[in-house]
Amino acid sequence: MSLLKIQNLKANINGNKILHGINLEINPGEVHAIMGPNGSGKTTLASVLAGNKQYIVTDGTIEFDSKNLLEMETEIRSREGLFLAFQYPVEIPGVTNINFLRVALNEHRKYKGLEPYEPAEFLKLMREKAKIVEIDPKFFSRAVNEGFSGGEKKRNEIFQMAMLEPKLAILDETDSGLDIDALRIVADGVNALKNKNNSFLVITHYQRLLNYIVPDFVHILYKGKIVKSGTKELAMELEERGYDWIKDELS
Amino acid sequence: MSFKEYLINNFENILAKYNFQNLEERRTTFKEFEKEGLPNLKNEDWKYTPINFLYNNDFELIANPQLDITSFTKKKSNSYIPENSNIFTFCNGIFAENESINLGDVKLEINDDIFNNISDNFPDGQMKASLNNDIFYKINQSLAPKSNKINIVSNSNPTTIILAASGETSNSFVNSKLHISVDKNVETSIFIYYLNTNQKKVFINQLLEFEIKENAQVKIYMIENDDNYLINNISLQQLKDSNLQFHIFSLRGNFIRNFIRNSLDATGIQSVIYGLYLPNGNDIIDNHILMTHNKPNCHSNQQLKGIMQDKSRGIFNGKILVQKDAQKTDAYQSNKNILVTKDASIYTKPALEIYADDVKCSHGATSGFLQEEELFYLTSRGIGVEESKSLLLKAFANEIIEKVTEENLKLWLQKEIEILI
Repeated sequence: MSLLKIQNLKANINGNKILHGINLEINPGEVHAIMGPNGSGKTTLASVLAGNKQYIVTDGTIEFDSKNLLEMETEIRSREGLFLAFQYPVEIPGVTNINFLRVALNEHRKYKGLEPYEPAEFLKLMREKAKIVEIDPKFFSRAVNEGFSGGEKKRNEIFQMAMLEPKLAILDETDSGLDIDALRIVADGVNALKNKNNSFLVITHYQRLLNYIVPDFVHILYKGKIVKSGTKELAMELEERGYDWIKDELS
Repeated sequence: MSFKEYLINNFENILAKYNFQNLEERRTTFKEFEKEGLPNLKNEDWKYTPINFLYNNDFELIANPQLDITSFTKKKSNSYIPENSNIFTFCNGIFAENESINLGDVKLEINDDIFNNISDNFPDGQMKASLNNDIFYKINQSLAPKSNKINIVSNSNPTTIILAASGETSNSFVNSKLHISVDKNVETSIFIYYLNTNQKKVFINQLLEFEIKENAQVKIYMIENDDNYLINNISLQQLKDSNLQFHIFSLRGNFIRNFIRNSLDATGIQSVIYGLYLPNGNDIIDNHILMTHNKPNCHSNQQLKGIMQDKSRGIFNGKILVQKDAQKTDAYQSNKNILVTKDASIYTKPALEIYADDVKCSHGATSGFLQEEELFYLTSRGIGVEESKSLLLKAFANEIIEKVTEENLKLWLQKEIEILI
């Protein structure tokens, strides 16, 4: 049974129609990549999945783990196992990483009917997960993303993902603004977290990231629709021939 | 009957009933109040601070209080009082010896000399005028029972000042005057509370004076944490090389008006004001600050933050005034506000007035709702909306609480904030 099933999804922001009927199905353990030129609707799709209310869904359905995702509030989607690694992670002055994650994880546990973590147990978990993305424990007591470099912010997203252990992680242009070393750390982190039960939706403009996080399927999003799907070779072809090839083919 | 009519009709009775001294000076001052009346919204300093609670008067002036010990003890125990603290309690402007402890660091002097004011020493005309034109200052000068003076002479123990208001059966109107001086080279902390030990409403019209002498190092923690109507005129004078950290937490109160006037009258002074105000319900909290640099090489900094909940209103009006002698002044001011609801409001007006040419000054103000992007980020990690808001608001408030160096007070404040936000 599929983990995510999107059917005929249409969405607007500020009255502008961005998504014109998306169909996509992701099974547990699969890595899907969505590629597309600027303005094709990649971030809109990620935002709609995460429950950003600025985007209005006008048609279509989304099933997540056999439940109606569109009926869930943002926090419920998270507790049900959906995670969005933001393209531009927000700085939250005054809220420390450790406090933020403790509250978040304990809300997840409460949702599952579990007791909150003991402080020592929680700290141990944080230390373990921090290793995956090479985060210094000194980061724990710093405010969320405040004063972080672009690369640190992206690593922090993957760190949060490691802590929350989602069923489906959506990586929204996680590679943008990363140098090659940071890209490798982020990709290694994702690969370390990958298993047969969880799935990834990797949204990217470039093929570069897909050398490190190898997708099972590649979809090309153009003008709010998936116009072509294939395997990782499609990404290679796109890299070689550019998006104009797709545009020409469609016109 | 309006509050003004009540005072005019009863002024002579009050003078006689409580055997007040300096009658002629009191009458002269009161005449000015009679002529001018209560401030209204046309007065620039009161433009956004409506004093509706005084339109239909239901207060009675009481200057011979019976302190309700049960209520006082309870409220005192809910306050943070440091260990080994001198405690000076005043009830309705009169020293309450039984509720006070002097460990020997403090000299107390009580007399009728209420017209001897620290503002008489202010070198700057604008500063003097600002206080002298304040109607509630005039009312205080006409009706404060005694001149209370505390002189802190050594730095071994902190001092807690409890300004209590009592009234037995009626809503009481209290005028209170207290002068605190900190001697040369003394390093000390002062904690100030305003407690309503009345079963009914109280309106406290306070005049507080601080004289921070040469090289004194002083931390003042002013904690407004009771359901009072409070007008708090605070006059400060700092002398050479003194260092003041003034923390003001307006946590609870139906109506609070703080007007801090600080005169930096010598060189090498450091003066910092940290403020946090958290009105809710229909509360009004107003902070006015006039920081005057009269001499060179002084540093001042004002950082105030407010969180307005429900239908409450916040007002900030702060000015840095740099006189022409005050070269090499280094002065900053910042006021940041969050409106939690659409019915809450904030009026903020930062100002600089500079007559010297070699200074570094800056000011800034922000106000707005919680950031949707921040809320979305938190909820996208599974944190509920209300919990997310609370996290963000506490973080916002915590920046001011973190300035407190007294660890136990910091914890006490954080607990109070948990209840309020």
